[in-house]
Amino acid sequence: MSQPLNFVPVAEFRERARAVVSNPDLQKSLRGAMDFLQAKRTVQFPDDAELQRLRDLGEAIRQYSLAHLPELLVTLEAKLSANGIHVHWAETPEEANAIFIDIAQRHQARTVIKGKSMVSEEMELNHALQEVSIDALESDMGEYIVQLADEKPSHIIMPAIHKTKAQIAELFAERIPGVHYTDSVDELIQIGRKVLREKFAAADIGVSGVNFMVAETGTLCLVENEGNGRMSTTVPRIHIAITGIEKVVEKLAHVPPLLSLLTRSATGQAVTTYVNMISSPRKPDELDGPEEVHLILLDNGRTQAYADEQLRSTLQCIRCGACMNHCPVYTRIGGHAYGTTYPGPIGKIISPHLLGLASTYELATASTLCGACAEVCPVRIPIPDLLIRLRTEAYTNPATASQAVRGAGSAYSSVAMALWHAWAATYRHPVLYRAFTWCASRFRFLTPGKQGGWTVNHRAMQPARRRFRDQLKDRA
Amino acid sequence: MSQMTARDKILGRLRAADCKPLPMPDAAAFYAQRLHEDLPTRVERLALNLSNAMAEVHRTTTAELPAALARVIRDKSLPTVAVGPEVLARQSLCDQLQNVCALLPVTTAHTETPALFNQVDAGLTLSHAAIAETGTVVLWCDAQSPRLLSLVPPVHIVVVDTRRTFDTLFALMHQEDWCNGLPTNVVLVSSPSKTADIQQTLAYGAHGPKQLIVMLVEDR
Ligand code: SF4
Repeated sequence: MSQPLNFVPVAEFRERARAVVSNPDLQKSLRGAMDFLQAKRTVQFPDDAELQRLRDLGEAIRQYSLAHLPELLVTLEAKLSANGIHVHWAETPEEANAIFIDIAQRHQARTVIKGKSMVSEEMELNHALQEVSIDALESDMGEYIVQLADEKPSHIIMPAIHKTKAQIAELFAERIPGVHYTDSVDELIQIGRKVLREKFAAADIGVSGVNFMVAETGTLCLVENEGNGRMSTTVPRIHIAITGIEKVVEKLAHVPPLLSLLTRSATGQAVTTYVNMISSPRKPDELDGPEEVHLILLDNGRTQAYADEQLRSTLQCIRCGACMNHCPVYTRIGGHAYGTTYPGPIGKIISPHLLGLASTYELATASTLCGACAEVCPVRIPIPDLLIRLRTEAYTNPATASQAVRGAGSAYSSVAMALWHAWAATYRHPVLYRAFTWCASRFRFLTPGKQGGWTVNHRAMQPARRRFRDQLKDRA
Repeated sequence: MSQMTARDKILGRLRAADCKPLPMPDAAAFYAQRLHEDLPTRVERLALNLSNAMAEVHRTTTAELPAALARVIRDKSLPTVAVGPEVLARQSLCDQLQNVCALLPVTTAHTETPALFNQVDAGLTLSHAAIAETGTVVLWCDAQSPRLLSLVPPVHIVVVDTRRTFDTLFALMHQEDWCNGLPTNVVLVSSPSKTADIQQTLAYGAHGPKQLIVMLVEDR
């Protein structure tokens, strides 16, 4: 079954990445998918000046919301409660699962139908429900495909982006009873639709994520194209929305600019097919909609990022996925290599808070710091700066490391640090430097053949026979 | 000391960060700089954006609406059409539609759900407003307008009073003071249900309606 994500062995990141890089089919489909998404986004922003003004506004809204986060959450809770929506708070994924299961068991729920929710992936909700014999079925087509294959999403917006049409066709024929092989996309989608329709009609609970929560009106906004989100939040008797504490904005007027940035950056759409704004459960005179609506607010390390002024900007994210679509590393290694719920640049900067640096520091080092992510991020998160910060946190001496990030100092090595200090001292002092290069060129035969991480992918470095300064002297 | 709840602990940690307050961002200033169009131009933009998004747009007038709807229902051969209280209240419209199809009235809570899932060919709803910039129809779901009608049947037919076409979502929210309270559910619809989850290939009718038919009612 699904592998638990709570601890991702660092060593395996490289192996997984290597496997993807050496798979030409996967390389081709990743490249194709990213080119497609990049092109679609570009078309949506023909006027750069407008884009920059909109990004200014989006960044300001997210920063304002974070600066006032505790008050906004309290207002939101009061407003939602007044509207009849139950609010629950969870510090950890385990707590969130327990809250969910408690609601489910109180209603003797047997089946749960899920709209897309990355936070439920963070919680491994499906797994937790399975343990108490509650069936959870994903209804977003991409998520459904991934669940059918016993896999995890490899992209936050397009979960099955790593799969080709042919693979999905085979999967459907193999796993869905009574389905014959077809590789027509329309037919495949209709097969999914048919299977899932029956589940919607029968499910006890519908689950969804949330894109924006509005404090002033007590409204949950959900963005989607398929209609499964609307189904999940309308058909079953109970709707449980799950999201992170950072997703709140104060004013309804803050939603249109963020919505526009989100859909244009994510899939290159001016707007998604549906924008679903939920402000209460079904009222007594209404004919449909859930009788009960719950919201689970999850922390899971977000307060750690929040505590630090620089790291706080991580929480500005509106989960558009543009950073991964434009990342040269993501494009080559795909989403699964990261081993975390959130892959790509956003995954590199958020996962250390969710899982601790000990199991995630290597993600921050797997970057050239090219800056493509920061250039497209609609809310201007300085991702490369955050990567450098996380690297610094990981490699400093744990004895002196700040308490900002759990697991700080876990990549520290006293030998490596001593070498760096020696190197720095040598570079700063001309006499030392000259002596060092003189020795290095004379005793070049002594340079080791294995040079740590360098020789994993490169030939060993060896000093030149004659120093640069000597060669220059010869020319003069 | 009494036991701290998760809520107290989370809020405690957030408050401990002691952030400096920031000035309120001015979304209105951004939208003030944008293009403001007159009504006929807005309606043209709405129609264009909707058809580009694969919605089927029919333009008609108040007087001709029943005939135009009947024609669409007949041409598409939709034998059963579900309607909510908002449409049932228009007696003469219903009378005319009953000549071309069977109307399923959705008037009691949840009882029609199985029928909606299995027997109905189309749902017919009114709308609250429309947005030109994105080609969007705004559904205001309340006691008069059930939510499932625009979602479950394979075809959704929606009537739009074009006098209620706004430039942007922001303009609509602002002019109608949405911040003073929203109904149970507001849905913005901009195309038939779709997905690109299989190899980025667009397919319609993922979970919601395969066809979105928009009746633009304009009385010049
Ligand atoms: S970090 Fe920026 S670009 Fe990446 S998902 Fe978040 S908002 Fe989008």
